[in-house]
Amino acid sequence: MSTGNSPGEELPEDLKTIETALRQLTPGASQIDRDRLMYLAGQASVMNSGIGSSIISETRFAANNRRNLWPMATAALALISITLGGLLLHAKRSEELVVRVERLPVESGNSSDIVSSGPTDSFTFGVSTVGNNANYLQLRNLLLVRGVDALLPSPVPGNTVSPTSTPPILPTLRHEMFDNQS
Amino acid sequence: MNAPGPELLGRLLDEHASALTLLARRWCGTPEDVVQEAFLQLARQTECPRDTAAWLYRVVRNGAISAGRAESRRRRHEAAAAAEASNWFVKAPIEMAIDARTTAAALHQLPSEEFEVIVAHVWGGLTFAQIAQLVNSTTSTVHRRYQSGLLVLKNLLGETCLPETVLAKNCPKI
Repeated sequence: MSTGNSPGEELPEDLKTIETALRQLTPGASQIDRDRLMYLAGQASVMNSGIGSSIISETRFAANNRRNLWPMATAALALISITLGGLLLHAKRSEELVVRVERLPVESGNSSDIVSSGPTDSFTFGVSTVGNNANYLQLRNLLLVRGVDALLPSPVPGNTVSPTSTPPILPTLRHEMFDNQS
Repeated sequence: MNAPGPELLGRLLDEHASALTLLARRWCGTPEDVVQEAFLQLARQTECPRDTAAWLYRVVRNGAISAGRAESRRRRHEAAAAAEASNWFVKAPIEMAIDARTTAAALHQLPSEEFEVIVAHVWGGLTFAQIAQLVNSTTSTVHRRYQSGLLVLKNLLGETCLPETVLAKNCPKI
């Protein structure tokens, strides 16, 4: 065989003989699985093309979405629960607490203040206040300081209220306090 | 130029797979893997190379050299390759001018530069210009290597070569 593509130089005859002998030999058949290679080549060409890569990327995106669905839902629900709990706590803290404290009248050493303020008023204007502990103490103090007469209402000019018009508790109290002693 | 289609791949596989495998045997113990990877690499190309056959030979050559470097037991592989040289060529149904096993052993003794030129030209059908492109050399250098390789083979096979009469009877006209 002529090496027609040689650079203007023909082979010697002895080398042509060797070349011809070599051409008689056929290389051993390749062990490559032709069908498998063609399948892999088609797969490789599709993977390399834009369509293949877009399909693959979409498939991966869908798979990732499917995989992340439950964790994302759980995270969203946990976030909602934390938010609602926080709102509840905040609402409880911001609620106004009204505390009513009843302050007792300041007790001073001046007995006239006592007579003029509390006991007389409490005794005069309501029997129901007698039951009050504070009024009871005031009444007790008044009795100890002024005596029983302190229980009698002071005569007011023009006041037509007779001593008999005092509450019925007074004779009883006087009787209990003094008559029993005698 | 379009991407290589299945027809081109099939044709190249039929025409060059054996020669490519023979070429890859020189450097590595897994020539089929190297050749298959070269075809897959060709299938991944978005544009078909200008000279597809030469491109394949270059890829197989480089891949086989890389695979051979990766093999830790290269010496053992070379010994095994020499022992398995009978697999390099098929047994011909007729009497051949030279013995296949002896020829394979002789080819194995060639320097790599001469071996690849002879394989690519004789069994791959590549021109010297294509081979020059394959090995990054000039055409004259490739031709010189070809002649040198044939001369070495002649010396190695000298006594086993049959007379001219047998050659003339068995060899097809060129």
